[in-house]
Amino acid sequence: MAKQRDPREEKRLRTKEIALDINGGDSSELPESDKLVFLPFSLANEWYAVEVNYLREVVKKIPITIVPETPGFLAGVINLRGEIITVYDLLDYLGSGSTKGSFTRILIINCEKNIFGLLTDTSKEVTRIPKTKIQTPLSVINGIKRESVSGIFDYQDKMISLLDMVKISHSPRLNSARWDRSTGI
Amino acid sequence: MEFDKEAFLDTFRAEAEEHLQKIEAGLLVIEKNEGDKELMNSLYRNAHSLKGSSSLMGFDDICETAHSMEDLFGEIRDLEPPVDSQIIDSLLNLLDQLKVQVDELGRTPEANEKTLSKPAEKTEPKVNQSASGVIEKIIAGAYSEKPVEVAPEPVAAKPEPTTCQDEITAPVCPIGAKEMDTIRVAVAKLDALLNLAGEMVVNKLSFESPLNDINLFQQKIHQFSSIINDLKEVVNDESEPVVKRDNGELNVYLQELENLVIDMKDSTFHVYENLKEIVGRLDLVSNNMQQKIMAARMLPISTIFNLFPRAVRDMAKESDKQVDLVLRGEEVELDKKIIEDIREPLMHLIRNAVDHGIEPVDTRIKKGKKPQGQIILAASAEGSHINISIEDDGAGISLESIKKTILRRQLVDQEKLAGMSQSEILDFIFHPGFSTREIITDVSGRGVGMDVVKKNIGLLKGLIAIENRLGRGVKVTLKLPLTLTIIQALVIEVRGELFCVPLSLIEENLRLSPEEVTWAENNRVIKLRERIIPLVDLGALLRLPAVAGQDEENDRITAILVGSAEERIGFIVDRLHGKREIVSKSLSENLRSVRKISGATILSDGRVSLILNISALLDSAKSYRPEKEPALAGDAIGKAKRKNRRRILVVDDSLITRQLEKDILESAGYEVETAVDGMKGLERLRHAKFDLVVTDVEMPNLDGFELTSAIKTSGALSSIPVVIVTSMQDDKDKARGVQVGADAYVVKSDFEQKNLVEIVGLLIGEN
Repeated sequence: MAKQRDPREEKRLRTKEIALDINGGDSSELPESDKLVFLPFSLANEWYAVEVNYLREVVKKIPITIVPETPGFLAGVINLRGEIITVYDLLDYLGSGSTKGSFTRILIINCEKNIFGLLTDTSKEVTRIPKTKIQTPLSVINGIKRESVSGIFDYQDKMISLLDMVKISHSPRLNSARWDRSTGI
Repeated sequence: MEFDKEAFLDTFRAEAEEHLQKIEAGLLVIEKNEGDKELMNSLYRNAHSLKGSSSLMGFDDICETAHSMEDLFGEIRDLEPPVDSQIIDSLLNLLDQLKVQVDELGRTPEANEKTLSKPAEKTEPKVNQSASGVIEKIIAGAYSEKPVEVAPEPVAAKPEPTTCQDEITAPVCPIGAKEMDTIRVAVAKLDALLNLAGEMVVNKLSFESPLNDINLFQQKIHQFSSIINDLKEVVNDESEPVVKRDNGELNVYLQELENLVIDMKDSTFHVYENLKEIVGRLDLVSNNMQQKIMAARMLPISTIFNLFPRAVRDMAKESDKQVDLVLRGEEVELDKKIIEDIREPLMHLIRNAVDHGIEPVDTRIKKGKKPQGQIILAASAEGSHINISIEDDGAGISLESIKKTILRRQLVDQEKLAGMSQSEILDFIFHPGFSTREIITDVSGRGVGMDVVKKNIGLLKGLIAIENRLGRGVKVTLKLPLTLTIIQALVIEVRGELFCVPLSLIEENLRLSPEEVTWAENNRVIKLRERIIPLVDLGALLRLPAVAGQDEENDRITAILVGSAEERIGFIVDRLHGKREIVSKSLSENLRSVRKISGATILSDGRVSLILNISALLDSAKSYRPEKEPALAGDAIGKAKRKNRRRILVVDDSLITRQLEKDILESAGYEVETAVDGMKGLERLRHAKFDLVVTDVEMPNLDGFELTSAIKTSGALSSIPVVIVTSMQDDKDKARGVQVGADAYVVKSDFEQKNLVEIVGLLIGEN
């Protein structure tokens, strides 16, 4: 997060940012701590971002073994070089549909020793933007989605929601594999 | 003396040292104010275990010190951090004391004798006194509202420096000088090794396909060389020259080609033979390695069996009975993890046998039995699994009392109960919350019910069976795998998914023609060797999505027969994929709560396959009723459930507590009404039907005890379970709770959402 800076410094950074934006977003001169390094990916028609320090790797579509009597957002388990990893359907978790049929990649997240996979339709290259470009999420979105998104920003004409991985990986709902009888699988 | 202490001294020392290490590390964390309740509880358990095992070994001085420590932990574990440094100091002092005491055990045989017979005089009385003095002071302080004052005589908290010096310096050398012929290795490290060894065994199988490829290649070369031969004949046929040129030149080429083919034949033959030999050796080595690593974590079952003679003696004495415990098959070895995990269940089963099985001496004499009851605890290895049985010659289980409890707990109604078979009724003892005990005071702690026993055995990929011989005793049999990491499994296909079933739990595989299957009470059944066996569609039981294009009506039906003794069930599967050696891997934390799955493995094609928990599936199959359309049925069940949801009355004069309890219980699916005091509560109870009452103690008009007493003595209401929730953690209160007939007693200080819901669930079943 941006610490308190003196106004002159602040202004200098602002100017630089504007300049960088014109130059196609090259923000290499900004100190690393002021930049968000993220991987943009899509679920259905929406774009999301995960910070790279929570991203272990991206794997191609591999067979997923479904686990009986688990909630719909729990896509199943995969074998990643001998390690069994639980994979979630984030779109289903956020209540906006499902990517089980359309996913092409699986993001392997490592967040505070919680290792799990997220289905994704497409992903782009790792990108950097100045942290100052991140805005607080819209107040119109609410519920589970509001809790899971820590900020939004524009990138290449797309509105990207930055996922709050810490919150998601600790969310009781995600961590309870209890199957809800009333909703079915 | 019931067992050979010497044999256990090393184990005890090792265990004690481990406990002490953990306590020390933990205390240091707590001192830094980084500990939490969980840590405090685990330290409490460390002290508690140490107390228990030292008492069992007869090391009274260690036991006493550990006991003081346990008390102190017990008193402070519910307090909010930070923990007063004074308390930590005394705990550390007790710890040092224990270190010395434990260390003295191993030093010389004489020292052993001394400790075994009488406590070491120079240290014991003094420190214990001062320690307990401090505890009282500190506890008194801790209970007062203000922060704890430093005890007026800080010196008293520590053993005198000189004594301390003597004690500490002396043992340091022997520890360092001890010869190291054993290393304590964390089980997790062994597990990792075993896992890798297992992977190797499985991966070794993948050599088969390149070997086959080479074999195929050899055949091709063979064909190739015969074609060359044919060609040669054609070329050299004098009568009909195919080529006008000089055949000599062609022959030279052909000869070269032939030589080359012979070379190729030779070398592939060598590659093939060499590879085969290497794979063979690898096979041997990897199997050997796997077995050796496995053996490294196998322990003789005597490690736990030997704990029981003393325990049985004490239990018998407490209940004034005469019991002889016979141990058999103590030399049978099995996985350390399994040994650890069956200790509690076995203890529970043995306690049941003593408490409820074996009759008092005079009753036995009246029945014409020997005055001394007998319990046989036997283990035997059988292929890849082990059978452990607990057999008593007591009264057996009275079906009448089970029926009574079933009705009291409203598990099924009278009508349905009348139509149940003996084994179905007997099965209820595994029902959650089926306890004939008077009062539940601690859910997640010591006492485990038969449902927990069954659950734990299920998690170990085992099964439990109970054989009731009325008047002649009970035999409980546990069937367990020898090891958990590598198991023989049958790979089955259900609705397109592959699952693994531990081979040791499968009685047989069935191939049935449709004519063999008949219908009885909406269930498909078959008759097998004069027994009626229900068939259950495993896919439907697992609620797997249906696969299109399946027409099972005309095909033969494949099923696996599982279960034991009285309760066999055939699970219908799509097809069988043969047996395989699989490495069991654990799933992520949240998937461990999926009851029907006990683990996962990776098949040779790299796919993950889940290992089915047969014990849980058998349970589920018993209550399973086929649903016509599973998708809609879920909703229908939900609606039906909502219609007769369990109703709970919460009685508390505090609005906050009332609301909190209401929220907790409602979120667990119960329907909740509230009342502000005992009088209002009683009024509500007389006007509406409730399944359970949760009440506070301190209330105006009619307090919780009076309310409970009123409920329990009124004929119409007496069957309603009552849970008392209170801030008083006093044994007298608990006793009063028992006296007035409460069914459970929850202390507010350890009042957790889970705890209350758990207890309510135990009493009236989950919603």
